[in-house]
Amino acid sequence: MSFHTYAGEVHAVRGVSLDLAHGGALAVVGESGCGKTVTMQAAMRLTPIPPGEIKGGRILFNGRDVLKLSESQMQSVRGKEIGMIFQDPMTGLNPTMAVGAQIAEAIIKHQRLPGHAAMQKAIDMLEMVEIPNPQVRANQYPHQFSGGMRQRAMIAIALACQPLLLIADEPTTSLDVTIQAQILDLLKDLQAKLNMSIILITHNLGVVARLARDIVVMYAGKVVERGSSPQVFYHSAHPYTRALLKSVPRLDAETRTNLASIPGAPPDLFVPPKGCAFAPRCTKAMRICLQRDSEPALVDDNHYVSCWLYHKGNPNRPAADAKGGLTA
Amino acid sequence: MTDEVALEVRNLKKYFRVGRNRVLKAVDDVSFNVARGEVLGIVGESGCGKTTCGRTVARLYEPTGGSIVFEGRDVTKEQEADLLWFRRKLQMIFQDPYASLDPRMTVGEIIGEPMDVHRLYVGKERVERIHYLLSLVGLSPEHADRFPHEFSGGQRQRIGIARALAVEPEFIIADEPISSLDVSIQAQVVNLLTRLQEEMGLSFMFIAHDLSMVRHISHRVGVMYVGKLVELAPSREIYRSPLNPYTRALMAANPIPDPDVESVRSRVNLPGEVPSPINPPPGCRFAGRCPQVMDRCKNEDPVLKEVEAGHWVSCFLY
Repeated sequence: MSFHTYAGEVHAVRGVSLDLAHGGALAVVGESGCGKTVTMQAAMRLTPIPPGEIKGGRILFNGRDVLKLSESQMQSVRGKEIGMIFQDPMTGLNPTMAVGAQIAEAIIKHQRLPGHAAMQKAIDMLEMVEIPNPQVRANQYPHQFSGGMRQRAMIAIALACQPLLLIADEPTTSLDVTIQAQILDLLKDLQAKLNMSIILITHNLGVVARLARDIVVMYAGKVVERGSSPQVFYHSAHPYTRALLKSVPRLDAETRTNLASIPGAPPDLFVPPKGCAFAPRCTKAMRICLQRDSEPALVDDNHYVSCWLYHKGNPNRPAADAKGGLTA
Repeated sequence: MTDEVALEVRNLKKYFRVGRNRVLKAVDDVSFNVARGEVLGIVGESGCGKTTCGRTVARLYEPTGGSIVFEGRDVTKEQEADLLWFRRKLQMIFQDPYASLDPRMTVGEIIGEPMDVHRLYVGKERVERIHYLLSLVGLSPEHADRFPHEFSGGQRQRIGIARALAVEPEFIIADEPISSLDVSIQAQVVNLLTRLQEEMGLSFMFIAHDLSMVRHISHRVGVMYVGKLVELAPSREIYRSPLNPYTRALMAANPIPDPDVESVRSRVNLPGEVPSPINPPPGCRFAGRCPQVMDRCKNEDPVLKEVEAGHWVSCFLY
């Protein structure tokens, strides 16, 4: 996925592969500009083309290639089969429409219910996302809602047609921690109740630990590591993942110690590096890392890492059971 | 860290008038001390008054009531014109490294300006000091001729730190200095601040919403809720034995990046949302959401008191 800008072509996503089973909870983790949002927007076909351009690849949802669907077919997928919630609940909602009507809109469009039935369902949805006084609240406008309530309303819209998949892009980043905890609990409950899959895009490793079963770690437009939550947290293999895990302070840890920081800054994706994008910041970088990009290597069941250290040609390859991450 | 008090804040109040007969009590009767060489963290959710508290202590806002004693002098009683000494000794680092640097000034001018205001360094010494400060914060002397837009967020925050240190302050108020930065860059800036604080023996007020980061960098942590300081304790204590029900809920809501720990942690489900600080009702501000609320909490205001050595809490449970 590239974007053509006045400054040149940005290679925002440079070959990303991920998969998610029915009922799964996948977290896509990475810092700003790593391409996590663009990947998911491309999957929903929400990126404007131009300036965007999908240069290759395919996106299969329930066996269908999303990239080959027509725009009208796509519209029946969005909202009905895949729901999406965004970081900023204020810009995600229409300020000139009552909240109930915004939920009903999706129901009328996809389920072809008459107006009053759709409105009743909208009120039920507000109740499901635990908004008090749903009857009254349905007739109110977004500005009358607090940040946490707006995010609940967004979730109600996204789930109105019982999608198979919910994509949540930084759903709690703009919220306070106590409200974040409420929203995370709500998402977890609803996922179990409605038997849907969730893709959570976030930079917050705490949120990931609370919600995700599988994790994809992205850096500079590529997936550097993917595996189950325990694999990535306790046996992380990629030097970037390890460094990231150690750079966040924990509530239950010793204070005023030196945090493991990662020197330097992420690369400029106008000119993507020839080798591994993390190599200039990596403490374990070898000569090959600067020259050629690595291929994903399997280190454990369904645990992949893109790093030359784990290439089968490396004589000093760490053993498969080498423990990294939090236990190292 | 010493026992000598650098800053003493007593019954600080900052009210804002919002429309007719409506008063927003952003900071309402807050008292604390900061020892020389100590880092005091102030944590709370948005709208709790932590930023207003920091800005009022720096006298960027005129306090509504209370006293701020800095090095034995009550700065609330002095005229702005007489405060130049205080402005030099107390410096601020701001949240947004994009908005807090003048885009039309070079980095050298930005760092040099406070020295000119306080007539500290001139000529060759001034240039040398700018170069010294840049290398101190991990930038290079050549950066002095560049403009802020040429730097990344983390580098800009380093420039803001260099500017604050230019006039040899003794006390720094850092208001959310890392919340706009990426995770890997946050660690760099926090390590830098901790190192400078220790090497220079600075006193710090570190204001942020991220409890784990505040706890990490601070010797003591104060928790604010709707204009009130509800708990104040050493960093280790505040995680091990939080006393105020709000602090407990805040602690439980903060996710720990460790799935096994997360799956067994107890949760305090906090219903509802933070009440408005405009014309707040009498009684404890947390009473409406508190899982251990009593009748008394709805009528009387709890006061901050020391329940264990160094551990202060304002709650009728203690």
